[in-house]
This record gives sequence, structure tokens and C-alpha cells, in this order.
Amino acid sequence: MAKQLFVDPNEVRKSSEIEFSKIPVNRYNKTIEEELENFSREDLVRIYRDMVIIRQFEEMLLSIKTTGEYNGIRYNYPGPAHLSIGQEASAVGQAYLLDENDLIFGSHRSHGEILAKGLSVIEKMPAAELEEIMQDYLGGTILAAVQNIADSDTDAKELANLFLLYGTLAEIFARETGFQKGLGGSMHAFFTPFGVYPNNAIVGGSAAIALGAALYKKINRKPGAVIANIGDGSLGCGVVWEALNMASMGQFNELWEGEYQGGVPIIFNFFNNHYGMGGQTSGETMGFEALARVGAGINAEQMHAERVDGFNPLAVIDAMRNKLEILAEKRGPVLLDVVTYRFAGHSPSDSSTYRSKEEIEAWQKHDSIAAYKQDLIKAEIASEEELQQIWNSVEEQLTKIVKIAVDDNISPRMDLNSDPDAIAKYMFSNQRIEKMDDRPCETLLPKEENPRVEQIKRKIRTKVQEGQSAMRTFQLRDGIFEAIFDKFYVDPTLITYGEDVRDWGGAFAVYRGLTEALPYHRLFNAPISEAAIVSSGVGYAMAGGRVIAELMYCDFLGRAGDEVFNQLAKWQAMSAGQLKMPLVLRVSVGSKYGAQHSQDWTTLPAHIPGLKVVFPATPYDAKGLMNSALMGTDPVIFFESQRIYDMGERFRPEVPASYYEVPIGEPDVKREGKDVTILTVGATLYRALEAADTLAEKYGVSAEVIDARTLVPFNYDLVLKSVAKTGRILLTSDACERGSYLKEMAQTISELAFDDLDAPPVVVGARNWITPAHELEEFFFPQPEWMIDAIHEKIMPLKGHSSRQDLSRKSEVQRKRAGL
Amino acid sequence: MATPIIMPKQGQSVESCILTAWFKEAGEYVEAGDLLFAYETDKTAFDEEAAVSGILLERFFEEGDEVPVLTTIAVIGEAGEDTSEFNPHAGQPEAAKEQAPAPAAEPVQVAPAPAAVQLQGQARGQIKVSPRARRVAAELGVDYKHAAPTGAEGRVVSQDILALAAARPAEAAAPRLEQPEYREVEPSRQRKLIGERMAASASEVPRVTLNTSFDATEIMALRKKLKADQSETGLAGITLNDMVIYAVSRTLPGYPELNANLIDGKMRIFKNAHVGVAVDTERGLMVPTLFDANRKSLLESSREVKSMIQQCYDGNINPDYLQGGTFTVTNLGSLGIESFSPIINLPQTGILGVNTIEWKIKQKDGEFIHYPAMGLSLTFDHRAVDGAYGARFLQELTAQLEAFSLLLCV
Repeated sequence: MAKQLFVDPNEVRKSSEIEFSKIPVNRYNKTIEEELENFSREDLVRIYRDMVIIRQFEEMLLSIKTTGEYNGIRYNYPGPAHLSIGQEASAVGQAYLLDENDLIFGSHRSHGEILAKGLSVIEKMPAAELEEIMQDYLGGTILAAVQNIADSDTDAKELANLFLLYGTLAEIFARETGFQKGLGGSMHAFFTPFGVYPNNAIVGGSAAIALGAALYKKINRKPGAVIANIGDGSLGCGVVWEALNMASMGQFNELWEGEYQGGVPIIFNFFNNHYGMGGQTSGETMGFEALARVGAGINAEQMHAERVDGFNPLAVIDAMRNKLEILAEKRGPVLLDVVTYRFAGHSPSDSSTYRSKEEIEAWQKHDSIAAYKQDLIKAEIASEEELQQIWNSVEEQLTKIVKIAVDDNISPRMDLNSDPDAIAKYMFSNQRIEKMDDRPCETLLPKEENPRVEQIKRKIRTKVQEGQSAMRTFQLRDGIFEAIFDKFYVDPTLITYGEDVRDWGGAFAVYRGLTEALPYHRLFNAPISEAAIVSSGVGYAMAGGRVIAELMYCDFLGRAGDEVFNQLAKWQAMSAGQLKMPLVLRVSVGSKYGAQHSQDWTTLPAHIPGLKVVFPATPYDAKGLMNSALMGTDPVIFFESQRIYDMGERFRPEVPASYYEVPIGEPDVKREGKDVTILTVGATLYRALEAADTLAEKYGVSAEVIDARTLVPFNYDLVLKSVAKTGRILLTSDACERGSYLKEMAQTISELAFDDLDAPPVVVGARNWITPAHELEEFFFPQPEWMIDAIHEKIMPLKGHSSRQDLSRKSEVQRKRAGL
Repeated sequence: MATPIIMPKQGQSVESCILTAWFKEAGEYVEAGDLLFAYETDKTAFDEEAAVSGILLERFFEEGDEVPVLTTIAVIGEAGEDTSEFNPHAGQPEAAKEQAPAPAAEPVQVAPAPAAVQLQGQARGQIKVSPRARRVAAELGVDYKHAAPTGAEGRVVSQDILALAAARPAEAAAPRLEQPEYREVEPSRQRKLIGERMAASASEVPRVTLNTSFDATEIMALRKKLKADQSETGLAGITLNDMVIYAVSRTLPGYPELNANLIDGKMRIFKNAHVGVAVDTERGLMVPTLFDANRKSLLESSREVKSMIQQCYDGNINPDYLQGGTFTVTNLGSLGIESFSPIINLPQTGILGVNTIEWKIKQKDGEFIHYPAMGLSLTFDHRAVDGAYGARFLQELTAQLEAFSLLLCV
């Protein structure tokens, strides 16, 4: 939605044709002699060396996986090894021009990319800088291990090469001296000081994460390009298409202003080895025939798509030079189809039943290393002996590295016996960082001139009085707005995007007023691409920014499943604390809209380790929790209930206009009582209060109502204290009862407060059905009467009460048996 | 809300009790804590207080009725409330009611709860009790089995325990009947039982009593030392009688025929010494048992005996403790008795009477010296034991007591 853009019926309805321009395929046709004007002899030989390093590194792993030894060193490596033997030229060619400001993101098959990019950066980086990185990284532990095999005359670059190979291998072998202390492993190794960002074991997972990093570069005007290294198989993944589409949004050129106008500096680099595991992408599982064709469908520039011969390192370098220029001219994104081939299987367990021996042999005849070697010899750039010498010295070096990487003294594993929290301490970074960068914040208006701010000024911030008009009341949506609005004037890296957040102000008017305050590059509408919205947020945060992403309905969480559960939740711990994830994901829980727009799925993220999950139910808590979320460095899933966006403050004397925080993880007593505790999550608080009123008036029972406010983390002390007093607890929320997070809480309370309980903790959730139409919701979502019935039947008989529901054991067993 | 009043279950072995007295009439207002009724088992008698306040709506049993434990005997509630659902006679033919008491596993009637649920809990004859109630019961030292459940699904909950505990110091408040010049008293079930047993013992058992005494210098010195102890361990509370029990428990295993029950002509010889301790109470003689006395330290025995004696005085001793003894110690020494012939507590085979301490003279190294002598009277069943056997027991026992500190070291 952008009023500036006129949808002209005359234009749209006019008859014409869409024209495509030709997509180049393997257009590079220079000889190595011709390239001597662009490359020094040393450079050309170094390209050979880098390919040899990758080849030998991967063959070493293959040998260990299949024979249990390498050059006489015996080792059992039980983990994954997705090798790229055969693809070396494509990795080295890509990395050749890149420096540490250029970020690459990879896949499960990215050992070669780590090494190629690392070697390229080492070549360009001054010695002092290399030394500093090696000394600082993980407190110098990797450097200390490498020094076991370095001589006193080893120079900084040679040492850095050893460091790179060793850090990668130790990571693959799950050693504490690996780049991620062994918490990443083969498929997730990376090294950010060299611009090598997370490799991703979820196929296509890097596409939108890389896009987020590219947005970070663009929005924060940081130098460098971003490359998403994904395979041809990933074109079967929705998030990859979402990323291609979102990276090509028209607004970058049409609506973003000034120096922010123009394309995103990203290359979607498909290493096209023709197989997604065993599925043949061209001809069997997909229809693009030539992958580069896909670019033509994405935008008018056809993503500057091109097929490149990935078996010729010089062809790849040539293409990269060309594409990096396009990015520098703000004409991205770019799609590259780099054709290549893996000689080894998908993994060592792969017997290649899906391809013929002839095919493998035919490609081996084209082996890039052998061919490039012949070219070097033929052009008299290097002699056969010289190149053999390189091969031998790489092998010698690698043997030394393997020896120390399998040595438990030099390369120990994390000792979870002596430090049981070794992994636990990386689950959250738990830092307080007010702003992720120190520079002025770009805004369009002084805060006080903002129309929303003026509107809020006229609202009543104090505790709601009987009969007070909702329009004049400071509402929950105002609390969320105020925290976010304030933060935009503090943290210059903060951006927010989602569906219909600009102009519309969000589907539920939380963001009204932000459009007036913020330029496009800080507040923009995303395509309807939940996966890419979350995933690009992950990349933006990983690269160093702070971001609020938004899912319009909780029900759309499924659309962003991998992105929330595998990406957002995990990268802090998988990086052993080297990456931070200051991303707040606003998720609005629907009501009135039936089965696919009214589900409370708070349980899903609460189950996944690595996410903080909050669900405020009052304006005071909403503002305070949002402030905490935006001050921290951890991913926070921020649930909001559409049922209570216009709720005023009923508990605190007022909602302060100034900054304050509500700590994440602390429940809050909303009403004191002594006979029974009711613990609520989200909007159900208000129904529980109604139940508490009835309990007091009709049955003389005094209920203590506690609002959980947060699901993860959660401080049980307050609840346990309450249960010690009352001896009874009912838990209630709008989530379907079966498997709801309340069950987890109830079980924990049973365990921690067993001897304080007069009755089992009882959960009242929504029915285990689809959410019906609004008119039938009272039969689906927990009602005050349900809570009273459950208390009467299962916790404490209420004098004179008779239940309307059948809560007998027999019926319960029957319901469970029926899967309801 | 109507609350059923049940006949408490006093001990695992008790299946029914005699309702001996009602202290409230039907229709009368009852305050929680008021004495409600009295009942007795064949071993002891109890008074029961009301756990809740309200009108005593109905009494289902009369004085003298034998009532299965856990049966509802009355209902307290608000005027006009229906009590029929609690009536244990409901559905029984009138004639049957007279003769056949309801089965022992008669369901505990509780506050309204779904019928299916109630039946499930009852079918197993279990008492449902919440973890909190268990904890509170342990803290207050009351038995949750006596509590009237008011929780959901017929569960005993903490407030039921609190109500039970509040009703406990019952005996002190027991009403004393005016003493007329004379009155004819139907002996209590307990008195009758004592009488029957004593008569049987005296008439059926060929019994022999041996009297002796020993030099109590050592145990008196130890007693003096213990009495001065300032700690809270209970050492100061150890009595001479405790020491005698201790020595008896150590001596008995060497004299198996005295650590035995003679039943229907067969000797039941026990591995451990379970020493009965005779206690004189208002209700008559009670003999709680110190089980496994030979395996308990002096301090442990002393504490346990003290506690049991108190419970006998209070009338709340678990009847399970009023049986199972293998030998009895009875002490009239504190009343100045010099020797007596105690009656054997059948089916045991022996009983030791502990007498007062007298000053005696003995010759030592050619000189006469004074020493405190404590008298002991051993009565035994001659069917089980010969005189010399009993004498040897006494000889060893007195030797142990004279060198008590050595015995403690064993």
C-alpha cells in the first residue's frame, strides 16, 4: 500500500507483450594467456593452491569417514560430511575478489566456501589485523592449538592459513577449539571475522537470512556485498522464492529515498551441482531446465541472471567481478547459476544409485583442478614439479592439522562434567544494549509533532474508571506503540517491517503514527512472505542490527516455522555466543476470525529452546515488556491478543509516559486471594477475573489471580509462594488444552509444590477443536463458568454449585481416547 | 453444606467400634470442637469432637451400637438440609439393620461429587488424601485416616486435617459426671476385658512368682548424671524404669521361653523382645508395647515409652500398640510396693514387677555396707517355664543392672 503509486487501469488493461532479454550462458571465453593481463602469475598459482587445499581437505574427511584413517592417523568421526569434491573451482572463483566486508552464507555443503573465502581474506588482510583476530578469537584458544604445529619463522599469513584449516576441522570434529566451540559442526561452521557467516543445514535456509544481512548493509550503509550460497535443490523451497521476491521489491527503487534508493547488495548464488540429494533438479524434480531462467520471472532486470561455468575458476571470477559492479551500482539483487558437479555422494552413505558411473566419469574428465593445472603448465605459468610441490606441501600441512585436531589434549571437547552449563550459558546472550550502533537516528518528525503522540497526550493514562470511554483511554496498543516509537529515536539500527505496517499502520493500528515518523528504510511493507519476514530479520540481527518483525496473525506462524524454530531460536547457541539476536517478533493472536485466524499458538515457540516468549495483557505490562525486549539481545516472541488491543489499564495507578521496563520472566499478581490460585496467560486474565468475582460473591472463595506475562523464561517462585498459601491452582489460557504450555507449567508446579497441593493443578484451555466462528467462540475458548466448574469438580467442591460440564473421569478418558 | 460424621478408624486392625455415648441431640447446634460422641474399641476408649459447626441434623446410630469404622454415623449441616444421601441404612431392609452391621468397607460418604468418581475411589477402599494434607498431618502429628474428607473427589485436604487437629485435645474437656452416693456402673468394655483376662490368667495359669533385689547404686548414679543433662535430647527424661526395660530387653533374647506367647498349647517364640509397659490410666490398666525393644537405644526406648504413656493418658493411643507384646514390665515401685505378684498378660509367659528401692546392708571385704536395693518380682507361666529357668533369668537380669554401664557398651 503506497498512495504514491497509482494503479492506472489504462496502463494495466492495455494490450502489449512482456519482453525478456537473453540470459547469458557460459559466456566467458578467455584463455589463461589472455588473463595474464588481469592476474599475476602468483595469483594464478594461488588459485590452484586454494582449490587443492579444498580438494585435499574434503578427501581427508572422506578417507576418515570411509576408512577411519587419514595418512596413518586413525580417527572415528561419527558426524555428517557433505563434501564438495569437484566443486572447488566455483568456491575459489567466487571468493577470489571478496574481502572481510563481503559476507557469505552457505549450506550444509560449504566446507569449500569457508576455506576459499578465508584464504582470500587472509591474502588481502594486513598481517597485524590477522594477528589481532587470531589472538582475540575465543581468547586465543584456537591460536594456541595451532601454535603446536607452527615454526618460529611461520609468518602471519601462513599461520592464519593453519588457523583457518584447523578452526574449521576442529569445529567439524566438535572440539572446543573449533570456530563455534564444536556447537556448530560440519554443516554450521563459520568464521565471522573473515566475513564467513552461518552455513545452514536447512536447504535454502540461508537465502532470506542473507537477504537480511544485505538489508543491514544497505540500511546502515555498511560496505560490502552479501552472497547466499545455496544449491539448485533449494529452488524447491518456499523461503528461497520468498527471498528472491522480497529482495526484488519495487519499493527499493520506487519509494526508498535519497541514498537509500536502489537495489539490495545481494547475490543469490546457486551452486548448481544438478542434484538435490538424489533428485535431479533439471529434468526430474523441477522444470527450469537451466536454473538461470528463474531470474527472468522475478523482476524486470531478470535479476541479472547468468549461468557460469563453475568448473573454470577464472570464469567464475569474471562473473563475480561483473556482478559485484552491479551491486555497487545499487542494481541488485543478482542471481547466479554456477554449474558444477560433486564427484562424491551427497554424504558418505550415498551409493549414488541415482546417477550412472559414466556420468561421474565424464565429469571427472573435466575435473577443474586437473584441467586448470594443465592450463598453468601449458601457459608456462608454473611447472609440473612446482604444482606437485604445492600438492605435497598442502598434504603435509593438512596431516599436521589432522594430527592436532584429533588430539584430545590439544583439541579437547567441551567438558560438560566440570562445566554442566557449558552449552546452557549460550542459549541466551542476556545482554542489555540500548543501541546497536552509535549515530543519529533517521526520523522524519520530532517526536512531539507526531499525530499519534498528540492523540495519546489527550488520553487518560491512569487506572480505568467505570464508564470511561475507550477512545479516551490509553490502550494496550498504545503501550506497545509508545515503547517502539521511543526506541526508534534511540537505536539508529532499529527497523520494523511486516505486512501492512506502513501507511495502514498495521492491521490493528498499533503502528499508527509510525509512517509519519520514519523513512521507508526503517519502516516498510513486506510481501506476504512470513518465512522471509522472519528469516531476513534473523539475518539483519545477526549482521549487527536490531529489528522488529511482525506476523499479522499467530496462525501464520506455521508459514514461518523453520525460520522461528530452527533459525531465530538457534544461532546464538550454535555460534557459542558469538552472534547476538536482537529480534522482537510481534505476533498477533486473533479472535473472531475462525479456524485459521484465531488460534493461540504460544505453546509452539515456548517449546523451542532459545526463544523468549512473552504475552502481556495490560497496557502497563505491554509497554514495559516491549521496552525490555528492545533493550535485550535475545529473540523475543511478543504475543499480543486482538481481543484486548483496546483494553485500558485496570491494575496500575497509571501507565507512565516515561521509560520503564517490566522484566521478562516475572509473573505478576493481579489480584490477591487466599483459597485458590488462578494462573493465566494472555487475554484470559480478564475471564479469570470474572471467575474470581463469582467465586467470591457466590461461594465465598477468595481467588488469587496471577498473570504469567511471560512463558519463557519463567520465575516460578511467585506461583509457588501463592500455591503454598492456597494449596490449589487452576491454569487457564486460550491455547487448546492438549499439549498446551499450561500443561508444562502444571507439571512443573506439581513437582515443585507437591506437598503444598490439596488438589492436582488443573488446566482449563480451549477445546481440542478448530476455532469456530465468533458466534460460537463461547463454546471453544475458556469461559469464567468453565473455570468455576473445574474448581468445583477437581479442586474444591463449591457449596451449592452444580457443573454444566461433564468433567467426570470417565468422560475425560473417553475424550482422550477419541483424540479430542 | 451437609458434612457427614464418620466412625473413625483407630488402627489398622480395628474393623468396628462401639458407639458408647452421644453428647449432642439431633437438632442441637454443634460448635466445631464440641464433644460429639464417645466410642471404644476392644482395647481403648475415645471421645470425638465435632470437626465442623452446624446443626446435628441426624444420628444414624444409637448408644451401644457396634458401627463399622468409616461408616457415617451422623450429619452436621444447616437446618433443613437433606441427609438421606448419607444414610448408611438406606436401601437395607429394616430387619437386617438390627443384626448385620454394614460391611467394613462401607463407603465413606462425602460432599457431593460426581457419582462415578465417588464409586471409583470407594471401590478400592482407599482413603484419598492430598499431598498437602499428608504434610500438614505429619507436621501436626495427627493421623489423616481420621479426617473427614471435604475435598474434590472425596479427597482429604489440609483443612480437614486442621479441623481434626483442632478437635484433638479432646480428653481434657471430657465431662465429669457427678458422683452420686453410689451408682451402678456397667463396666466398660475395656474394664470387662481386663477383668476377663485377669480372671482367666489367675484361674487358668499355674503361675509362680520369684522375688529378688539388686544393688541399684550404679543405675541411680547414672540417673543422677542424666537428670543433670541440659540438652534437648531427652537424656534428662530417662527413668530407672527405662533402664530396667532396657536391661530386660537385652536379657530376654537369651531366655526364649520368657519372650514368647503360649497359644492353644503352642509356644510362639519371638526373635525380638516386644516389651509391654503397664500404664495406669483413668480408664484402667493399659499396656502399650515397645516393639523391638532389644534393637533400640536407651534414649530411643525412653522417648517412645514416654510418648506411649502420654497417649494412653490422652486416650489417643493407636490400638495397634496395645497388642503384640512378648513380655511385660509393670512398676509399682513408685507407689512404695516392696514386692507383689503381678498377673501375667496372656498369652505372654512372663511379667516382671518392679518394686521400690529399700536400703539394705551387705557384707563387702569384711565390712557391712549400706546399699540401695531395688526389688524385682518375676511371675511366669509354669506351663512354659521352670522355676530354675526363671531364677537364672532373674540372676542374669540383676547382674546386668548392677553393671549397667557395661551393658550400655555392648
